[in-house]
Amino acid sequence: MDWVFILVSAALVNNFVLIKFLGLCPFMGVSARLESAIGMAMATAFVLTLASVSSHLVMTYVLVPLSLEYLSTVAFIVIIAGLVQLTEQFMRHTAPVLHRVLGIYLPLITSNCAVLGVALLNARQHHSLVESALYGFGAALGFGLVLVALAAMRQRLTLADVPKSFQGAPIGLVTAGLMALAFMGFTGFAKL
Amino acid sequence: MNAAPAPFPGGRTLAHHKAAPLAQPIVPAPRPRALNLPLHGYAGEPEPDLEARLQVQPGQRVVAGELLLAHQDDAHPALHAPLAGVFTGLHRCAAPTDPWAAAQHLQIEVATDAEPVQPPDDAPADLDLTGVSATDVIEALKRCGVVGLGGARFPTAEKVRHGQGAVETLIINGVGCEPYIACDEALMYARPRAIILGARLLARALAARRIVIALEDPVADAHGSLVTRLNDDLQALGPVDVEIDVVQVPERYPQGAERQLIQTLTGQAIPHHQLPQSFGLLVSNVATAASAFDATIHQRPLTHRVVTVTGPAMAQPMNVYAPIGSAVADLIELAGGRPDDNARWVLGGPLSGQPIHNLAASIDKGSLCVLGLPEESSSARQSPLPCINCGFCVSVCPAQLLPQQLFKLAQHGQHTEAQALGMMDCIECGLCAEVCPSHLPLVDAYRHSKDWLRAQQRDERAQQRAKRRFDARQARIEKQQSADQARRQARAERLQSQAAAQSEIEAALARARAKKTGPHSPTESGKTGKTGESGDKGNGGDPAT
Amino acid sequence: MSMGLGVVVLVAMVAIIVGLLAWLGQRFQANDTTLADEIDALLPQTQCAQCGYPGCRPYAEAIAQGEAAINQCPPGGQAGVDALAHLLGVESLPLNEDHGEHKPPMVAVIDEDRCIGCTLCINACPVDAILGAQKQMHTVIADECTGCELCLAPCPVDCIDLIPAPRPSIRPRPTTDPSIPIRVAGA
Repeated sequence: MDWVFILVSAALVNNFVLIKFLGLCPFMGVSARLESAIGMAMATAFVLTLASVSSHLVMTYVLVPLSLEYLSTVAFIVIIAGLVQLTEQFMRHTAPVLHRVLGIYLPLITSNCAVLGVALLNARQHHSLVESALYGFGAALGFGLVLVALAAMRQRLTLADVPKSFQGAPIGLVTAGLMALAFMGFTGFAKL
Repeated sequence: MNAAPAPFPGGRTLAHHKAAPLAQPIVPAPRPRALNLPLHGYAGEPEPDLEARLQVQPGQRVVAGELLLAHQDDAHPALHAPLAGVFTGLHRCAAPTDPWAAAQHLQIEVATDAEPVQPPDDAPADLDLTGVSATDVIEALKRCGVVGLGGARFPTAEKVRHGQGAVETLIINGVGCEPYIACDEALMYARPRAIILGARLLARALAARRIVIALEDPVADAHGSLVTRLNDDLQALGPVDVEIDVVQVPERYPQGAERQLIQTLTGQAIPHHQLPQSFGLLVSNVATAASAFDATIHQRPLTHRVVTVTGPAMAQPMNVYAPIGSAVADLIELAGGRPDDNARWVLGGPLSGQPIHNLAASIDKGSLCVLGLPEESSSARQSPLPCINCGFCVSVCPAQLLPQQLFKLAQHGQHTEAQALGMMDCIECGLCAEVCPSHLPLVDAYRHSKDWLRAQQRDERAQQRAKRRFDARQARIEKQQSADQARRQARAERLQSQAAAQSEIEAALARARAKKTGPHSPTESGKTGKTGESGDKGNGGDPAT
Repeated sequence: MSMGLGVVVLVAMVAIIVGLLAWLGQRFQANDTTLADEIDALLPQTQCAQCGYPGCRPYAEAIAQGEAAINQCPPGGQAGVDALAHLLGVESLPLNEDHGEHKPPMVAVIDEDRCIGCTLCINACPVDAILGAQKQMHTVIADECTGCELCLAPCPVDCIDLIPAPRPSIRPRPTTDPSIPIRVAGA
């Protein structure tokens, strides 16, 4: 039951983008087109889940036994950077067009604060291995959900009669703000 | 199959306005001064191989029914001269509904003594169809240039050939397409037996087992029930090898559209990417059936059609038996309208028709109706307001599309996205524009988008062809080069040994001597060149020795 | 002591990750052919070589490898550049006029009275759209001609002309004023 709780909490109630305001850079940057948003969501989900598992392993079996907890941030960044490189190489091989489309945003997953945030929160809340994985996966789920939803809305907005000064990024930010308001409705469903 | 088991989604019941033109029998059009026969394939593409298919020379006299343009393939039907006169040549004239396009027309100056053609009489009740084979029917359809007269102008011969063996039930569509258009009803009153016999001939060509004649019967009270008449004629014509039913369908626009009619009759919704043939069904218009009869039994080419000339702007709405290529203005005058009136002239019905920009333009085989609406009734003139997403258009759309979304995509040039939402499934029935409270020109936008998509598909096909040809050429050149390379290498290897090189040189010298003694001929220079070439090669081999 | 241990641990982690990535990099070679295919599908396939490459496919490969700019294709026009930019997720560029200007689709026609049957144009045609033989009149298969202009230069008697290709007309987009009709009183 706790596990479902963690999943739902990470995905909806404490959504990393709209509640915790982490990972806003790819959220606004890659949401102009639906296909690239879906690609980004999947790449981030892959990195996030693996990053939370491997950072948990490194934390439990390397840093804590050697009482090097103060190194956790640096160590996690190294792990995340490695995973992002792995994803990039994999994507270059299997989906070169998507790789091109995501462009700079793919290596920028490294500096996606949601990824580092999940790893650090896992460590701080002393999650077990499975809990870490679920927390990471839930965060990825929530990130992908709002990213794809915003991309779909922005695609519809290209047809709308938007005043000139609001066209492009401004109306995107307004939309994201309204989404955040809507997600506040989940508050109180679960605490964590 | 009498009641509608599953009526099509959407649609609307509209006032039919058909009584006035049906009050009198079909009127033959008086002799026009000239006829301009529009030339375009059924898909609106330019006619291919025009020069090769043209059977007459400019200045040549033609008789009524003479072949002008030969049938090329099943997509490009034959065209015949409706009246006697002089063929004056190819002319580029404006199309009636498109102010931007100029289509090629075959022009005939009608002879002063040419008699107007009277609408043909109905078939006799004692006609015997035995001995007419499927091939006879198809050949006659080809020869006489029969096309779908319901508006699509799709060549009937091709339709029948593709449906052969696959069609169980032939549906004869007598459902008036739209309000005001009464040409199908007029024909059913005038020639019910020709329609029934034509349907039987088509069914024979298709090897269909069953015929359903579907109609609305809108003016049964005033002019007598068409269902009764057709059933009486069925009795009179006697028993036949196919089962024939006459079915009355409820009046609901667009009941006359192929897929909607099928859904009402059979409950079968045809998915957009499939043809009715895949479900053992084929729909053909009543007028097409009648001209199939004329073509097969009387060898009469399709040169005339019934056109409804109607609307509040006409003093005397009527159905005209008009030669193909008649000017729209002549038809309007015949029905007591004034072409210089400030009316809104429409080719086709009030919903799916298109505004006529050029009244001098002429009708083609697919022109059903010339409609004159008074200026104030035209909703298109009211300035459009922004879409308010009311969803009325969604609820009436018979193709179950999202008209407002398609409209926005089309207006923003996002045609590919519109295609993904089913733009090509739109049947241009016009109901969405009719119910739109913002008076948006939805159908015009769809027509633009569909034309764009069709042009795009055409370009893509051309691109793929060019790519294939380029790749093939590239492969051929590569192959040639590697073969040359191999030959040169083989030669170089052969010349490695001194003895071989020596004998090669001697052979070349011997050849040269033989040629010198030979007779002098114009080909001498070519042979000398060849000798020089082998000499060169020999020299090339020398350094190796 | 603890400081030194930390450095050692970090260096070890980095070394492991770099080694893993290097090994994987060898396993997964970058795959540029699919990308070139997708780019090639957007090019107009005129095979005109105006981009500086001997055909559309070589240009597509050059773009895929990042050697060529996306704005070197005049037959594709600005719309083609925009489509490429969209595919590759980069900013669109204005069409580079150095490679030629965008023209509507054309088709070559041989003036059959002046043609001397030299076969030079046949060799120049990238899509084999010209038919003919030595000392025989040549003709263009209009359906296959891409209007690339490559046959114009080799012709010694200048008997090839380009005419606009026949195209089905596209009915125009209806004009609607998209703005909300608010009028200021008295204005």
